[in-house]
Amino acid sequence: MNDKAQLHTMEGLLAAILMTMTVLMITQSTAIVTPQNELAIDVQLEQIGSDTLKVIDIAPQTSIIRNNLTECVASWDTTTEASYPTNNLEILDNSISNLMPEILYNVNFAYTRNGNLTVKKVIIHGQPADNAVVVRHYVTLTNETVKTMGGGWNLADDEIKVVEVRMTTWKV
Amino acid sequence: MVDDRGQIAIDFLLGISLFLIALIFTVQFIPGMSMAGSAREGSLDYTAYRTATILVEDTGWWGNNTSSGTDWESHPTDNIERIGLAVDDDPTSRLTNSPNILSKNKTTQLMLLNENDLTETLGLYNQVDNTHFSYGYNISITKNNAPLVLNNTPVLLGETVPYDRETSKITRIVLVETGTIADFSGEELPMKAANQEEYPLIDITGPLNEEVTLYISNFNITGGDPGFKKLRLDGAPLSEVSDYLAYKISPNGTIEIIGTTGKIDNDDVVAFVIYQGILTGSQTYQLEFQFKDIEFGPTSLPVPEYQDVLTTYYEPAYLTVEVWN
Repeated sequence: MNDKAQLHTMEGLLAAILMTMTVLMITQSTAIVTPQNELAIDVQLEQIGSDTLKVIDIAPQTSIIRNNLTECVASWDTTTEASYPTNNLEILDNSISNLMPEILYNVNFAYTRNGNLTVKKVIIHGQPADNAVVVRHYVTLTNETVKTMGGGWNLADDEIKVVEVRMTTWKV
Repeated sequence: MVDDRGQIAIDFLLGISLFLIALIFTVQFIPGMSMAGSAREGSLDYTAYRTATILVEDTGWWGNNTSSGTDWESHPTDNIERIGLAVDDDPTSRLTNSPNILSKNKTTQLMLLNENDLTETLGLYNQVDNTHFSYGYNISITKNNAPLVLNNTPVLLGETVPYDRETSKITRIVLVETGTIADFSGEELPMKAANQEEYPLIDITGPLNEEVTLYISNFNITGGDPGFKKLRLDGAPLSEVSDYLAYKISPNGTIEIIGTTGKIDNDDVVAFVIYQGILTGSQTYQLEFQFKDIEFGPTSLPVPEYQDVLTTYYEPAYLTVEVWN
C-alpha cells in the first residue's frame, strides 16, 4: 500500500480551514453593515440641504425669511468672489444658517457668461470634509428682480439668466 | 487470495465527504452573508425616508364610490387612501405646486386619526408570513427644539423614542402654515392725534383665541435714536414678558428681539406677536404703538383693521420621522 503524501493531505486540510476561517472572520465583522448606515447619513444630509434651498426658494414675503432664493441671487455683486472668512452674500448666508444650524456649507453660483460656464464662490465656511454632499437648485433672473434687489448682473430688459446655486454641505 | 478490487477507496470517501461538507457550508453561508446588513436596518431606513417624503411632498388622497380628491382632511369619515400634508389649491388634481409647505388643516386632522388608520395608511409595519408587525414610530414637527403648537395641540404622534434600541430617523425642513399675519406699511398707519406722529394705531376685532402676529415695515425715520418703546391695548400698557413679543428682521435676514433700547432702521421689519388669551372679548380692540423718532401717517387716515389685511403665515420648522422595530 502506498503511504506517501499523508502529510500533504493534512497540510491541504489545514490550509482550507485557515482560509475558511479568514473569510468568515472578515465577513462577520462590521464590513457589511457600515455602508448601509453611511448611505442613510448621506441621504439625510442631502435631504436637509435640498430642503433648505427649496424652503428659501418658496418662502413668502411675510415669513421670517425676508428674501427668497431668486432675490438673494439677484442681489449679488457679480464682480467680487468670496475668500475665507469673508462671504459676500450675507442675506443668503443668514437664511441658510438659520435653517440648518449644525451643518457647514459652501455656496457657489454657476452660470454661463459669453457662452462659457463660470463658477464663482459666494459663501465659504471652510474645506469640505470627505463625505460632503452637493445639492443644486436653479433660479431664473430677470432684469426687474436684479434692479429691485440692486445686484450687479447687468441684464437686458428682455434677457433672462439661469443660475445654478450649488451648495456643498458636510458635517463635522 | 481474496479479490479486494471494487471496494471504495478510503481516500476517496474522505475526499468526497470533505468536499460535500464544504459545499453544504458554502450554500448555507453565502445567502446569509448579504442579508446581514440590508434586511433589518435597511428596511427601517427606507420606512423612515418614505414616510417623511410622503408627509412633506404629497397632498394625500381620499375617495369613495362617487368622488375623490386631495382634500382628505375635510372628509375624515371617507376612505383616506394616502396621508400627505402638503398644501394644495386644487383638490381635484393629483399634483401640488407646493411641496414642503404644510397645511394647518391637514396637520390638525392628522393628529385626530386613530392609531390603526395611521400605521396602515403610512405603511408603518413589516409583513412577515402574512402577519403585520407594526413599527414603533414618533412623528413630530418642531420649532426651536420644542413641538410646534397648532390649535392648542402640540404636533407629536406616536411613542417616546426608546433609548435601548436602534432607530432610524429622518428630518425634513418645511414651512408650516401656523396661522395668519397682518402686514402693515408705516405710512398707512394713522397717528393717534395731531402732533403725536410717533404713536400709530391699529384696530383688531375680537374674539381671537390664538396668537396674533403683526408686521410693520417701511419706517420713516425722523430722529437720531429711532426705536420701539411700548405697546398699549385700549390705553392700558401690555407686558413685554407675558402679553407680547417684539422682534425685528433686518434686510440681511438676522432676527433680533427688540427691547426698549433696540434701534430700528428704515428697512427693518418689526414683528409683534400678541399671545393667546389677550384678545378674547367680543369687541374691537385698539392697539396703540409707541415708537421714538419715527413718523407715521396723518390722523386723517382711517385706522386699519387687522382682519382686512390678513394673509397666511408660514414658519420654518422641522418634520422628524423616527421608526424602530
